[in-house]
Amino acid sequence: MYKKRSYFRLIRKHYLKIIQYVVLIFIAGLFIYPFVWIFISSLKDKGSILANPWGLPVKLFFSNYVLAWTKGNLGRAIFNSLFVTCTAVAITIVAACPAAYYFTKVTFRGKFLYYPILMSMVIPTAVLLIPISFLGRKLNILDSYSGLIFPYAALYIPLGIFILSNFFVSLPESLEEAAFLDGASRFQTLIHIIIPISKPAIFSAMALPFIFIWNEFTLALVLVTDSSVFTIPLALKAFAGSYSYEYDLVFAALGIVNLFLFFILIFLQRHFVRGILSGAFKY
Amino acid sequence: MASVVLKDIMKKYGDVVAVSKISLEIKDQEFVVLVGPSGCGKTTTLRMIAGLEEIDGGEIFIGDTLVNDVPPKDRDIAMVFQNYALYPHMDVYNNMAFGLKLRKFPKNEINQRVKDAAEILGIQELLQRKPKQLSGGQRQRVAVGRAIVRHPKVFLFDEPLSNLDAKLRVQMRAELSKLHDKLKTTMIYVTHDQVEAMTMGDRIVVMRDGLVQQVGSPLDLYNKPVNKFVAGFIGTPSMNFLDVILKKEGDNLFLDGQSFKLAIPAEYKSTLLSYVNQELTFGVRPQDLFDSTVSREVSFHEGTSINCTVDVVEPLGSEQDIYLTTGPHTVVAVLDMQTRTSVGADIKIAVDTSKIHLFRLDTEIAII
Repeated sequence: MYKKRSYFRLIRKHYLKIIQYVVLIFIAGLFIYPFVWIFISSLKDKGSILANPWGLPVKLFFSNYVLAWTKGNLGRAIFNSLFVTCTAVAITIVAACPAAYYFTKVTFRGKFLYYPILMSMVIPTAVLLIPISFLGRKLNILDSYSGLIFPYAALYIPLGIFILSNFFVSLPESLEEAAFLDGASRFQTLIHIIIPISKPAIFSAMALPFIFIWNEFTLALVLVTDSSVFTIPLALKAFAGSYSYEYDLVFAALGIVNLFLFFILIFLQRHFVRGILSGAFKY
Repeated sequence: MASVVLKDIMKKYGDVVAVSKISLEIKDQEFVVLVGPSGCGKTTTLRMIAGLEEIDGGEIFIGDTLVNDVPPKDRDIAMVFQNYALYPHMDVYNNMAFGLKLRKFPKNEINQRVKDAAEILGIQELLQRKPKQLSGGQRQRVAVGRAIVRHPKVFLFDEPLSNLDAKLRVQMRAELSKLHDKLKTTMIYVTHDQVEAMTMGDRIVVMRDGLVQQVGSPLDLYNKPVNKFVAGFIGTPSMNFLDVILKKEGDNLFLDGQSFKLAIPAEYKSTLLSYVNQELTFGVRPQDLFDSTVSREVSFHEGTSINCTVDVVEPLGSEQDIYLTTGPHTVVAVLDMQTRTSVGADIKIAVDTSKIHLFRLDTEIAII
């Protein structure tokens, strides 16, 4: 009797585990399949992509990668994307750190601006396209790196302030007070105490704008027409002509870009996870 | 080294008065303890001295300098916080050296000062460790070390022992007292623990509701509390308070507590004559109550004892706390272990009437 019951219990236990694994594998598949599909399609020629989009390649066309790299000027696009994104993120964080610190820890006249600044995050980029391009033309920075960097930084500073202020507010007051008594000014306290202990939150405040700017297409499309300043999304768009679409090269280009991102993610995974979880644990 | 003078200092949070016109003079090299229950304004007072809270009224002097508008960093004070507030990303050495580096001290001097402080506190081996790798006691020492390397004029301690376990607290209490003897610097110490206050302070400031109740030496506060609050706050277990009526029979005064009558020593007669037939609060410390059958501490005569029933017995090893009832009153007595009694037993408790206290019922101010 006892044995029978424990046997059922064992089955029940495994049954639940099996369901868990099936669900997890299904969800993982949903995320992984598009990348697998891109990789498979990148090795086909244009004809077989259109004739049999889901099937395996009959013949492998590694030349797609060489063609995509040269024709799409992908090296330049990757550099542009990296340069624009890193610089914009750096400006975002340099501006957001002191702003978030002063908004959360200091009483000053302009404190009422905190919520209006945060509210600016909900304004859709499409609404800002015309004013930004108009301003860009006035400042003569269209078709240049700064024409992309400054609008991106301006758009994501509120997000940086939001993430950082939420972290700063959880830091014990006594840490700052100890620094004041040790002789530090507010700025020295920010530089020597607050920023070093806020690394996970700062990484998080960098990671999200990084992803958004890296993937940004609409604003770049409006602000940049010179192919030497194209970021990756614009370079991919260039494969689409008015009358044709070079699917084989697009897939190969996507493969290259994804491979590049894959290595970045592996390299930064530890920081990335820590950054995302920064708010989850009490300081 | 410097004296600290508070003149009518005030602090308000909206309509709530946290500190109400406190005046206090702390002498150079003195160890003063601010003690009181939560919300009495002791930490706010300390933070005002540190410059971490703005003052709504009054003046604070450190040495001869009025520091009302002087920022914390320029007041030449050091503070040890309740949660230590060590910088988590710096090792112990850098935690201690941070203030000196900011003040641009030469490197050798920083090294020397940190080394000296570490030696005084016995933390030489911990200098390369991060705060998270330290125990509570070690963190506490580092926090003190960070304060002493700066050689400040005044040390401020904000309940620095409250996060330690009972045993370590006793040990650190003694070490801080020793440190004061060694450094000979003015120290202001905030605690809610009256035992800490009694054992450490040269003088104690008892506070309640933002007001100073009494300032004096530990024994002054224990033996001559100015009101019922101080009498009840200082001493463990707390003083017993019983509502009584002061009566006069012939030439003698006595306290009528319904279930007992206590004769008042002749020395208090002149002070108490004007209170005859008034209701008063009678206070007696548990240590001034004795088992009349075994005690040789005081000589007893008629009218110095109370018949009680034992409610609870708490043996502590060297002595025992006995909770008693007499009529409508509840009384605690600290008796020696010779007394053999049990719950429900009747016991005759003798009162050392030379150490009794009487308070006015309305104002709670001490009469004797």
